Amino acid sequence: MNIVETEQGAVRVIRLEGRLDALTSPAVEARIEALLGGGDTRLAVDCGGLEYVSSAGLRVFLATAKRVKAVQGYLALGALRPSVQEIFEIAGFASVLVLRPSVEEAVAACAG
Amino acid sequence: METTWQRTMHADLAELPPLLGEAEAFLDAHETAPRTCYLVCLVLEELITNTIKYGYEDAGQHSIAVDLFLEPSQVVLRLADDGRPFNPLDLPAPQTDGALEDRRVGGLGIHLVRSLAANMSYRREADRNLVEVRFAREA
Repeated sequence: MNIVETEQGAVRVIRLEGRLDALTSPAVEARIEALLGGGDTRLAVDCGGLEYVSSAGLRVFLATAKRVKAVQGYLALGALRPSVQEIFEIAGFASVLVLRPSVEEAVAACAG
Repeated sequence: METTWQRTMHADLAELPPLLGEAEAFLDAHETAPRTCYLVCLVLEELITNTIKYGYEDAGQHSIAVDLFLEPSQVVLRLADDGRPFNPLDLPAPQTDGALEDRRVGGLGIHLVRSLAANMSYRREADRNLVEVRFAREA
């Protein structure tokens, strides 16, 4: 799992590349926690390179959404692959997370 | 070509990634639909992780047997472990609607498995949990 970060205005764009599973989720969660702790509260996640998500990965997104809400920040995910989108839908996450077709739209959703 | 793939792993999460890689390679070699490969890997990860995390009441050595069988129209996955009795079909479904603050972080793994499987069965036999999950080969 690679985590590539860029800044677009006030939005931190986090590109996840690879598999978000039981093995890789803790590092991603720790990184997001560090960002939030450091005051980055507008997070756009570029899921274009995300090949695989299991329940361990889902937990990271749900936990992040809760933390972001607590600090009145913004979280949006963009460019999910169809197989990953399907997992989000079964988990019922489409209604509690901001999912956008593209990274640009996810960034725009975070720009407030 | 061989249409059966069988492995036994220690109940150790570190052994999971290579096992998933091998299972995926086996399915790929038999031209299984990419979506089916994804689902089989996901179900393997969820069930094995669950067993390793919650399945044992002692700190002794345990192993998990993992079999994949290719039938003409289905992929059949069988898992056998010697953990405490656990029937995944008995687990209540987690809440998947409602507001963010009502959602629990967790409990989603088995829900994914049950949602994605074409068919799933469980039996307890000779102090082992035997789970069989079937998937359509063509997604």
